[in-house]
Amino acid sequence: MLKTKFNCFITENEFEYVKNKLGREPNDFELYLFSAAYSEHCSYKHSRELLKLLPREGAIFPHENAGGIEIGEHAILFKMESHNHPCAVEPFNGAATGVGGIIRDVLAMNARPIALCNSLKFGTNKKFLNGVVEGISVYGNSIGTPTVSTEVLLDDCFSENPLVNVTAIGLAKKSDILTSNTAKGGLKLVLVGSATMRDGMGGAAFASKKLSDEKAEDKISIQIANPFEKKKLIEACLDIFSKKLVVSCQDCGAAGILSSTSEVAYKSNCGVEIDLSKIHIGDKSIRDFEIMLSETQERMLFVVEEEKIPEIARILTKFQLEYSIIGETIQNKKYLVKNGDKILADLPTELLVTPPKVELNFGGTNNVVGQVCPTYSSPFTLHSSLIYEQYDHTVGARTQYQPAANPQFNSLWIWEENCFLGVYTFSAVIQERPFEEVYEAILAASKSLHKQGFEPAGITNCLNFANPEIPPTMHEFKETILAIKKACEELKIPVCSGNVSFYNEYSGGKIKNTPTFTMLGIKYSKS
Amino acid sequence: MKKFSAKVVVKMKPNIKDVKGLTLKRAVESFIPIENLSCNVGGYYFFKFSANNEIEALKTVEKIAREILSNEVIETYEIRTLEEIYE
Amino acid sequence: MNSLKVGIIVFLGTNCEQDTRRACEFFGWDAEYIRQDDKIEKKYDLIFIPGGFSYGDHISSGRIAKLSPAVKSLPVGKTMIVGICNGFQILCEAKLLSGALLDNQNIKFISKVADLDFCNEQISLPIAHHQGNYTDDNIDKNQILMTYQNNENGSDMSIAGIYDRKNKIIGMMPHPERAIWDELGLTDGRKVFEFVKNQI
Repeated sequence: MLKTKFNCFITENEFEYVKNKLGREPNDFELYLFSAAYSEHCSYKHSRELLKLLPREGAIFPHENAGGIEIGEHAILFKMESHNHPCAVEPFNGAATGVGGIIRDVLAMNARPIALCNSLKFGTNKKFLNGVVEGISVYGNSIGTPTVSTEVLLDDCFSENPLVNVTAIGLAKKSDILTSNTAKGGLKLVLVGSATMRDGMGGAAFASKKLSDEKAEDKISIQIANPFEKKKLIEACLDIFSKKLVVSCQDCGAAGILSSTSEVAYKSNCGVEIDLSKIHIGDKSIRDFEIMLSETQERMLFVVEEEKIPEIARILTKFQLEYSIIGETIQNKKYLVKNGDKILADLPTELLVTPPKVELNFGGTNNVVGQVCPTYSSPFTLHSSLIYEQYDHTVGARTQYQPAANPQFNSLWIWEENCFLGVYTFSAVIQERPFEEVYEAILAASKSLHKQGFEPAGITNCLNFANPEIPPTMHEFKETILAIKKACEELKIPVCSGNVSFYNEYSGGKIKNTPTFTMLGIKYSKS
Repeated sequence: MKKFSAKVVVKMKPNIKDVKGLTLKRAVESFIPIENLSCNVGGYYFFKFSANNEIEALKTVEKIAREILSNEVIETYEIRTLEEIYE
Repeated sequence: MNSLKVGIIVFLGTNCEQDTRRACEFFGWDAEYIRQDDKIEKKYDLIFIPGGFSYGDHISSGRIAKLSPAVKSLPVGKTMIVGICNGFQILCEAKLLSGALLDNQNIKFISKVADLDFCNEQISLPIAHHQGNYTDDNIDKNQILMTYQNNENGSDMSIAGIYDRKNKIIGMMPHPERAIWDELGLTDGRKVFEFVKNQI
C-alpha cells in the first residue's frame, strides 16, 4: 500500500498496472489522481461486475448520474446515495452535504428536484442522530425540496458507524434531459459555483477506508455545506438548461474536478485539457493536486460551445454565482492537466476510469477479525414526530396530506401527467440469510405500495456493506444482488440507479450489511 | 479621506428569550460539568472603510448597525471600537 | 372570481413563489414575478411576499431582503400586501408590520398541519418554519388575524398571523398556498385567499 497524504493511497498492484499501461512511472501529481480515481468510492472496483447483473429493463438512463422511470412526456429521475463516514466525523455537515450531493445528480440531468427521502441508522444511544437530522433538515428545507419519506433504525452495530442514505427525486421532460455522453472535441469546460477550496480533501478515498481513531485527519476530509449557494445553483442551472445553452453537464462530487472531467471525457469518447491557473479559487494556499481532488460543494461542470458563454455568464451573474473557463475538450482521448505552461499530468482518459480487476473473496464464514458487535435481535424502527417534523414535507404543494401517516411512505401529485407518485423507503438489515431477507423486504415494500393503490414502477438502492476484502462481506453482497435481481424481475420493475458503500466498520467492529431502498409506484388520477 | 476600523457587537435584548443561548447552554452542560451557567449568543462584526472625519464615520457605523446588523425590536447593538487606522 | 393582477416578489433563496403563483392561477388571477432588484412600478391589485430563505437567512431571516429595491418600493397603503412565512419575517424587519419573529420555542424547525382559528372559523394549514415565534411589546389585539389552537412555536398570544387593516398588510406564518388543491386533500387555504380578495 503506497500511502500519499489526506487518506489517499494506491496499492502496489495498481501502481504496477499504471506503470505498465503508461510505459513509465506516474509522477507525484498523477499518483494523487490515480489514488482518488481508483478508490472504491469512485471506481466501484469491488462491485462493478456484480452490479451488471441487476435488471435495468424499463429504466430510462440507468447508467447516467440518475436513472429513472417514464411517465408520459416526463421522467422521474431518482437515486439514493450514502454519506456514512462523513457523518461519523461531523454529523451536521456530513448529512447536509449528503443531501447536497444527491441533489446535484438529478440536477445535472436537467431535472428539478421535487422530493427527498432518507434512511438513517444509529446505535441505540443515538449518538449522531441530532446532528444528522439537523443537517438534512437545514439543507433540504433551505433549498425548498420537501423530505417526504423517512426511516430511522436503531441497532448497536451502527453505533460508531452510522448509515445515512439519502434519495433525491427529480422531474424532467424526457426531451430535455441532459446526459454526460454528448460532449465532443472542441468544446469549452466551464466550472460553475463555489470557489474551490481545501475542504473535502480526499473525501472519496476517505469513504473507501474504515473510520480511523485519528479523527483530526479525517476532519480535513469533511465537506462544508452551503444550501443558499445550492439553491442559486439549482435555479441558474435549470434556467441555463432550459435555454439549451449547454451540451453536457456533470456534477462535481466525489473527487471533484478530477471525476467530473474524466467522466465526461470517458463517456463522450474524447479527451480534456485543463488549466488549473484558470480555476476560481477561494484559498490562496491551495496546491495543484488539492485543486483537482477538492470536494468543495455546490459546483457543476458545464461542457459548452464557446459562443454560448456570454449568455451563460449573464445568467450566472444574475444569480450571483461565480464561474471560470477551466479548459476544453479535445479529440485526442487524453487527460491533460496544466498549470499555465507547466504540464502536470498527461494520461490516457481510459486509464483513469478503469482500474485493474480486483480478486473478490466470496468466502461465507465469519472471520475473527471484524466481529459483529452484540446487538438486539432485530433493529428498532424509530417513528418519532420529533424527528420527521423537522423536515419540511409540504413545500412544492405536491405532497398529499396523510393523517397519522407512516413516515416511510408518501404520495406526490404529478399534475403534469395527471397521476400520483408513491414513494416508499425501506431497508433490510441482514441478520443471517441475506438472500431471503432482501428478497422478502422488496416484496413486502411492493405490497405496501399496492395497498395504497400504487403500481410499483422502479427502485433505487444504497448497498451499505463492511470491508469487501474480509468475508463474509462479498458473499452477502452477491446474495443481495441476486435477491434484488429475483425480486425486481418478478415485480417487473427496473433498478434505475444506486450506490455502493463499502468499508462500513470501525476499530470496534463492523455493521450488519444493510441494503437500503426507495421504491416508486404510480397511481393514475380518476379524473 | 481617512481610514477607519470599527467593531460592533449585537446581542438579544435582555427581556427577549435568547433561544440560541439556551441551545448553547444545553450543549455546554452536556459537555463539561459546570454550575450556574447562563449563555448568550450574539454577533461580532468588523468593518474597514473611508470617511472624512470621526463624526461621519460614527454615523456610518451606527446606520449599518441599526439597519442591517440589528433589529431594534429584539436586539441591541454596541459599537465596541471605532478608530482611525493608518495603513 | 374576477381576475386580479398579482405580483409575487422573488428573492435569491425564495422557495414558494411557484406554489403561490399556482394558487393564484387556481382562482383565475393573473400573477407574475417581481425580481428583488426591480422597483415596483406596475400597478397590482395584490402583492405577495412568499416563503423561503431569502438571502439564505443571512444575519437573520428577512434582514437583508428588507433593503432590496422591491421591498423599499412597496406601494404601502395603496395595494394589498400579503407576506407568507419568510414574507411575514420580511414585513416585520421592514417595520411594515409590528413585532418580530424569533426562533421557535423548541429551537427546531417545525413542519406539520396546524389547527388554527381564523375569522371565527377553525381551519387547518401547513406550517413549516424555524423562526415563527411572534413577539411584540405592544400587541394591537385588533390586528390579530390567525391564532394556533395549540401554540406550536411559543408565539405571544399564539399569534399565527396579523392584519394591519389601515395599511392593508397581512403577515402570516402558515402556508395557505399549500392547501388549495383537492388532489392534496387539504383545501382550507382557499378561505384565506378568498378573505384576501374580499379585502381588496
